[in-house]
Amino acid sequence: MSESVLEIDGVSKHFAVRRTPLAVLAGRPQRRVQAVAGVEFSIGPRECFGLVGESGCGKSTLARLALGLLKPDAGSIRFRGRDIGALSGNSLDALRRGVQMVFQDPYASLNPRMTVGSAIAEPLAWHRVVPPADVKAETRRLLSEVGLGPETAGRYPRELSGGQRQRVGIARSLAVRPALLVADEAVSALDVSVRAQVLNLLADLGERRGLSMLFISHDLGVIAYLCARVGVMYLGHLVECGPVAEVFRAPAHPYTRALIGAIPKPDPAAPHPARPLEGEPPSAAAVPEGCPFRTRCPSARPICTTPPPRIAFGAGHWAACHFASEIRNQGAN
Amino acid sequence: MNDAAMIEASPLLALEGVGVTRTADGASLVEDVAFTLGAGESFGIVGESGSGKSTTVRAIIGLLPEGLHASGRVHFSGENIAGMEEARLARLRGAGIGMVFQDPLSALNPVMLVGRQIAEALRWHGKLDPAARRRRTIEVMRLVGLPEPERLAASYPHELSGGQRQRVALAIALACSPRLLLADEPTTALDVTIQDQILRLLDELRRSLGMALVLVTHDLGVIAQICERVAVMYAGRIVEEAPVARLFSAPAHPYTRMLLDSIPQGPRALHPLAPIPGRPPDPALRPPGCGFAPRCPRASGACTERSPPWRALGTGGGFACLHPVIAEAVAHV
Repeated sequence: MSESVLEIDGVSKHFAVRRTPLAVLAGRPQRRVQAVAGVEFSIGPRECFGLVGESGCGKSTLARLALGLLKPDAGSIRFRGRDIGALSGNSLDALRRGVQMVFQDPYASLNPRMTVGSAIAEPLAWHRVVPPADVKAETRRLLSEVGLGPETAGRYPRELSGGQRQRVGIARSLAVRPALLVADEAVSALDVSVRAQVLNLLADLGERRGLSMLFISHDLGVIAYLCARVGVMYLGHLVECGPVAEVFRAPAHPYTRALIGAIPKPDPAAPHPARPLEGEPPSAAAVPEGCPFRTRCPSARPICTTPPPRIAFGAGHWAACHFASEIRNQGAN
Repeated sequence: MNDAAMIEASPLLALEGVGVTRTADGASLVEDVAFTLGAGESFGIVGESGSGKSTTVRAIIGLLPEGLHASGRVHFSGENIAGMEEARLARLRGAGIGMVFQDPLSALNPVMLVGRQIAEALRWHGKLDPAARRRRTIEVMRLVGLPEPERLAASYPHELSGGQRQRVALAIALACSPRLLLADEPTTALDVTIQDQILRLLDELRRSLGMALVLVTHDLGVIAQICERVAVMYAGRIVEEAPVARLFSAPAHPYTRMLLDSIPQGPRALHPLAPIPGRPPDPALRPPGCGFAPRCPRASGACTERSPPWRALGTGGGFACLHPVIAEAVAHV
């Protein structure tokens, strides 16, 4: 792969848990929640990288880190080769233009009192993407690029359906001509038929504009549709990473395997694993020593209390598990 | 109406011509819904937002929000419970028909210990003396797979995880051993591995307790995993009903076919999605004739003139369409 657009390099992020005044007086130690722990991956030009995991696994924190909205406690994040932690002033502005976000609920990110046209024109004018005289035409062009008619410009967000609002959110992100789109659960709130439309739109835009994408979702199905590579997160750790087809065909981490097995398949004849993954993820304030997954892992053994090695299988596929080779040989469920 | 069900002894639940209208503007949200359910059977209702699936199950048990009015007949154990006075319906809820909803927090009292809430359900239905209620509370908590029931019984809802709360809601629903469980998107708010646990639990409980299940979901995967028969709703009507295997292998209604084709099945390069154009109609502005006609590639002039008649299939179920996708499906008529 040529030079990466985004490089996440050993990134960790902790949050302090708020203590009650009583706890402070009693001198109880400050508890910290580990949101992201030593995560490492990179996204190449025109590549769509998927990040999958369940609630609290740290995937949204990672999105905010990639956007420069949070600073990592350790490690570095580079956008087109430049450490975004060291940026300020004009270069930070350039980062804000280069990396854009698509939210799960565009309704919450659009000003209800602003027409769709003004919402899209605002970043165009603010970042002087086009001369003032061309803002209107560029707004129309962006609307048509996301499949909306020019009449949409005069509408308010409340007059639109969820799918239309998501298209407006995408048009607004594209206005400043970013190189990287960070989409956090961007299709999760949409109905099945509308979700398919937006997935195709994102794929088309990615190809046409040569965009890179960090596509974050709890849904492995949509990641497999859109992304070439996938990273699987559990309790702040990236536990497996690799080409989507490889990870699906031969998952090498027990968590990935369980996740694939747990997806309800739209086929009554599909085989279903004999047993579900038991228990629930522990709190991020009490991540187990060694392998974070060992408390729920059906294959856990005493050695799992030590940090698991990263075992590589070629083609960029790796898993952080003491028994990754064994698990991988079992194939998908 | 399903002929096979009429030959059998009277079904546990039978809906006939059930409709729901909004009193304010007379808009019809659900129209002419009919299906039957035998004891111990599992029946799925699938549809997108606004299809009327949740409104239909709420109408069964008389729990429609203010401003909605139900019509038609709902027979439960041979008795018409539609329009039954509230006091009698309240006794039926829980004892005869249990319910679980998408958000267990809204169903639980935030300031009451969960054990007490389960015992309360038993007391409300006049079951058992206090000591027996406590025993039954622990027993039913064990039944739904809550670990350490004695300890958990003494916690408040906010101290539990989302999966545990849904198990508590299920324990309340099952406390009085209902013969029918209505579950409205019971796993939609849960993570995929927890969803898998709850779906398996629902399936096991249905089999072991001989309880019938009506499951409402937007997720065809969930339907495929635990339902025996399924109704597809669109714009307030059932457009197709089928044994689950037939629905997935040979759908008759174009909407069902297109909905199945909207689910990602792998990378776009190999399995491109063909989304349904447009979006579902506002229930208040439903077009005359078939609700799906404006989005249907097979629609003819006749489709917009009157609602297509229900065509029963010999293999069970049927569909409402003048131009079904599967020629063989029609051959059975």
